[in-house]
Amino acid sequence: MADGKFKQAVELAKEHHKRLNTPESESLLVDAYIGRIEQFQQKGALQDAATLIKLVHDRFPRQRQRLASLQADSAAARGDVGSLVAPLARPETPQELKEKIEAAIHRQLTDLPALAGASQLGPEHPLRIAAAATWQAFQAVTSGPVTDEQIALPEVSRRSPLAGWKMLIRAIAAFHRNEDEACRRALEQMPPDAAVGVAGPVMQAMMAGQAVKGPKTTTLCARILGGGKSIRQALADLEKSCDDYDLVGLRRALGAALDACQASHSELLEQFRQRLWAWCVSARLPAETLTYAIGFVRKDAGFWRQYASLVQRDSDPIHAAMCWERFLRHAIHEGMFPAQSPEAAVVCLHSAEMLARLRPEELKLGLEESRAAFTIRRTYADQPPEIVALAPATDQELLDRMNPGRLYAQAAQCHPDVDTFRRWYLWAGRTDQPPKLREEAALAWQKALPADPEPLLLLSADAEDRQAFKTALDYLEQAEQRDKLNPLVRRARLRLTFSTLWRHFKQKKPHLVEKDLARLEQLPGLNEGDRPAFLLAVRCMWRVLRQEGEAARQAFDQAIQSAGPLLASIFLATAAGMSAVDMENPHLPTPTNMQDLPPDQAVPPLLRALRIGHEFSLRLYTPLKWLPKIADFVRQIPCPVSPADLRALGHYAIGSSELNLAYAVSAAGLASTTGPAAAPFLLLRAQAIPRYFGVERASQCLQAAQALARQLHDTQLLDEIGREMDPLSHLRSPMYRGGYEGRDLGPEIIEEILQAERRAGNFPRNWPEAQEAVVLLPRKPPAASEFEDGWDDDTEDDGQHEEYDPQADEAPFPLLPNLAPPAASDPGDVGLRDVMQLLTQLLERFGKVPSAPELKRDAPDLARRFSHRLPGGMSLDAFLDTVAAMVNNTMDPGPLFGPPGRSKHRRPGHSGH
Amino acid sequence: MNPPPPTSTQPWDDARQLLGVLADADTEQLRAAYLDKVRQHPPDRDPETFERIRDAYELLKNPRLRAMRVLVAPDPDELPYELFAGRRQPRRFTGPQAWLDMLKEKPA
Repeated sequence: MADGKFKQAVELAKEHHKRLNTPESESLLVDAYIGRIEQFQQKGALQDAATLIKLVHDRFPRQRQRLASLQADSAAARGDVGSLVAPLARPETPQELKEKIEAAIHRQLTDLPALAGASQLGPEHPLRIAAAATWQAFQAVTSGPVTDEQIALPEVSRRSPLAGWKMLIRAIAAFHRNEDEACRRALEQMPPDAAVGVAGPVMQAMMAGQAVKGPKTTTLCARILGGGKSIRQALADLEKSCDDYDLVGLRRALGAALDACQASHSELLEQFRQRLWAWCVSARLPAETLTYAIGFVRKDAGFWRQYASLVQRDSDPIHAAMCWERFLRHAIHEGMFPAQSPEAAVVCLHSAEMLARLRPEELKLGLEESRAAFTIRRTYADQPPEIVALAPATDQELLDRMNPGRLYAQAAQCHPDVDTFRRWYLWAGRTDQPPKLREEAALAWQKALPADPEPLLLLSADAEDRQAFKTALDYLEQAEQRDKLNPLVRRARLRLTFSTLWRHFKQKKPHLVEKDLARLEQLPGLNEGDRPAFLLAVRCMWRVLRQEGEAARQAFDQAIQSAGPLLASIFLATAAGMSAVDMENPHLPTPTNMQDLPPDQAVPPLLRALRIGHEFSLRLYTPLKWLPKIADFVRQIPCPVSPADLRALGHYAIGSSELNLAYAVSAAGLASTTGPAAAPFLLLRAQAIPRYFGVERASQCLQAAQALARQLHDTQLLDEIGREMDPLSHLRSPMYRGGYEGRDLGPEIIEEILQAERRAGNFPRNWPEAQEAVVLLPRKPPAASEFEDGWDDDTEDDGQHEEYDPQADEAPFPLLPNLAPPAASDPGDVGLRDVMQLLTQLLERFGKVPSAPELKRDAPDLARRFSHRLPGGMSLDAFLDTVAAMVNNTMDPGPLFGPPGRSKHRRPGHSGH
Repeated sequence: MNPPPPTSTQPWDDARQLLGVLADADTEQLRAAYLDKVRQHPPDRDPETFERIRDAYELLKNPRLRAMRVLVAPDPDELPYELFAGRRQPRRFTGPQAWLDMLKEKPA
C-alpha cells in the first residue's frame, strides 16, 4: 500500500483476513479496498470504483462509515445525483457525512439540473431550493441579458456547495455585457477547487481572443463568438492574393472575408461589400471573377459616395458629378440630411466646381462622350425596388443636370450662402460664359439675401460696363439704401461718379462735367489729404475742355500748392489720360518734367499718387523710365517704403502688368515683414511669377499666403487670394511639385516657403529659375488602423492556387455592368493611366522620386504594383531613374511611353470603341 | 478657392474634441464652448493654443465648412480594416446546454 500497489495489497489483505478474521485484519482489508477505490476514481474508472464501494459496503457493515466520503465522490463523479444527495434527506445522517456530500457537490457536480430536480431531497430542502434557484439563474444568464436582481441568488451563501456556480453566473453575465474586468473579478472569486472552475480559463481565453482545446469547449466558443477565420486574417489573405495576382486565392479570400463579416458583424455586411467592391475596382481586378464572389452590392448613398470619390480620383469630372448627384438623391432619401441644408449645398457646389473647371466646349464634348459611353440607369438593374425607385427617369435627365450654372443655383437654393453666390458669380463672370449668366447669378443672390449690398454693387458695375448708366445708378442707390456706410458701397459711389465724369469728358460736355465735379466735391472725405489736389487737376481738365487756358493754369497752380509740383504733375497727366485730353492741347498747363528724376525724388510722390489711384480706380500715369528706378529704389536695404505703400505699389505694378516691378516689390515686402504680415507679399509674388513656367511656385505662394491671411482675419485679402487661386485649381495636383491640394500648411512649411522666396530675389526668366524656390511637401501617410480581434481558430489554407495567366486576362473590372470590355491587352503594354496613377501615389507618399531600394523598403505595395505594370524587361531601378530624369526635365519620355499621340490607354468606364 | 473633397473626418473630429462639443452642438453651444476655451487659453498667454481654438471654431461655426464632412469617402485603395476598428466580436447567447457540456469535459 505504501508503494501504491493496491491491487496486490487487496489480494494480500484478503488472504490475511481469511487466515486471521479479526477486526484488525478486516480494517486492513478495508484500507486496501479504499486505496484501490481511490485509484479507480483517479483513473476515471468510476463504475469500477462504484462497484467496489458497493461490495465493501455490503460485505463489511462495520466499515461503512469509512466509505461515506468515497461514496459521495463516486456518486458525484458518476453524475448519480440521487445516490449522492439521498443521505442528506435523512435526519439521522451524521453531520460529518453531510459535509462530505456537500464537499463532493462542490468539487464534482456539473449536472446542476439534476440536483435541482433531485426528488430524493424534499421540495423544501434548502439545498434543493438553492439548486433550483441557481439552475434558473444559469438558464437565464446563458440565454439572454439579465438584471442583477435576476442573478442575486440570496439562497446561495458563500459556504454553500453552489457558491462556485453563483460566481460563474455573475461572470457569464458580465461577459455578455462586455464588462471584461467585472467578469475577471467574478472568476477570481470562484473557489479554486470548484467543479465549475474549468470555466475560468475558457472564459479568459475567449476574452483574450485565444484558442481553446477540447471539442465541447471549442463548440461553446464557436457558438458564442462565431467560428471560421477572423476578418483581419481574411483581409490579409485578400491583400496577399491581390499582390500575387492569384485569382483563385482572391475568390476564396473574398468569400472568407464576407463569411467572417457575416458571422461576427452581420450589421456591417452591406457596407463591407461596398468597400470590397470599391477596392476591387480601384485595384483593376477582373470583373467576372469577382462579381460572383462579392455578390450583390447595394447601391445606396454610401455606395454612390464611394463610387463618386473613386471616379473623381480618375479625373473624370462629368462621371464624378453624376455620381455625386446620385449620392445626393439617395442621401436625402435615407435621411442623411435634408434637401434644404448646407450638406446638400456642399454636394452641389462640389460638383459645380468640378465642372466649372472645364471650358464650355470641353463640357459639351464630355457630355456627348458620356451619353455614348455609359448609362447610370442600367446600374440599377440588379437593385431592390426601393433603390430602383430613386433611379433617374432617363440618363438624359441626369446629363442635363451636369451644368455648372444649374448646380450653383441648386447649391444656392439648398443653402443661400454668400460664398456660394460669389463662386457662382465668379464662374459666370468668366470670359467664356455668356454675359447674362453673371446677371442671373447676381439677381438670384440679391433675391436670396436681400440685405446684402454686394450683389447690387456687382449688378451696378456690370450695368456700367455695358454703358447702362441709369441702371447702374439705380442698383447703386439700392445698395446705399441697404448699407450706406459700407466702404465697398462708398467706393462704388465714388467709382461710378468718376466713371460718369470721365464719360462726360469724353463726350465733351463741360456742363455735365461741372455737375459731376460738384457732386464729387460734396462727397465725404474728398477734401482731405491729396484728394483736393487731384480734384483740382480734374478741374484743370474741365477748364481745358472749355478752352480756358488761364483758368486751367490757375487750377494747376493750386494743385501744385496743395501737393507739390511732382505729384500735381502726375495728377495732371493722369487726369488728362482719364479724360482723353491730348497732352499737346494748347490750353493744357505744362507739367513738371519727371522723366529723369532720380528714384529718391520720383518714388515718394508716386506712392502718394498710388494711394489716390487705388482709391479712385485710376489708371495712373507714370513715365516708363521710372519703372526700373522704382524697382531699384525698393530693393534698397532697408527698404525706405512702408509695407502699406509697398502693397499699393504692388497693386499698381500688377494692374499695369509690370511683372518685373511687382516681383521687386514683393521681394522688398517679404524682406521687411514677418509672419502673417508677409501674406500680401506672397500673393504679390504669386501674381508676379509668369504662369507659363511658374505655376507650381505660384500655387505654393498662394497656399502659404492663404494660411497666413487666415491668421490676419483679412477677408478682403482672402478674397483676393481666392480669386487668384481659382484659375490654378485644376493644376493643383500632386503631380506638380508644390501642389498642396488645399492641405493645411504647418508653420514650419510656411516658414520654409517664406525663406525660399526671400532668397529668390531675382525675377525668374525660365522654368529652372522658377523652380529653385519650390519647396516640396510630402503628403502624410495614412494612419494605421487596428481593430479588436475576436476569437480566432487555427484553420489553415490548403495552399492550392493557380498562377495568373495574362494571356487569358479578363476585362478589368468595369465601373458599370453594361460596358463592353476593352480588347485584351498585350502583356508587354504599359497601361499609361495605371502607371500615372501609381506615380501620383508615389509622389504623394515621398514628395520626390525615390530610389528603387527606398521604394521597396518604405512602400513595398507600390513597388509590387509598379513591377506588374512596367514595360517588358524594364527593371524598377531603370524605370525610376527615367522618371526622375523626366521630372528634372533632362530626358525625353519616349523610352517609357512611346511617341506622343500613340496612347494605348483607355479611360475606365468607357467602351473600347 | 476650390479645395478637393476631404479624405478624412479628422479635422472636424479634432475640432470638436478641442472645443469639447458633441456632433450635434448648435450655434449657441458652440459659441459658449469657444468662449470658455478662450478664457482658459487667452491669446496673450497661450497664443498657439488660442490659434488652434479659433481655427476649430471657424471650422465648426461655418455651416458650409461643417457640412463638407459629408463628402468624405473611405480610401478605395485601402482594405476596410478600419470598418471594424473598436468593434468587439459579438458574444452570442447559447443557452445552458453548451456550457454544461463544456463543464463536463475533462481538461486536456
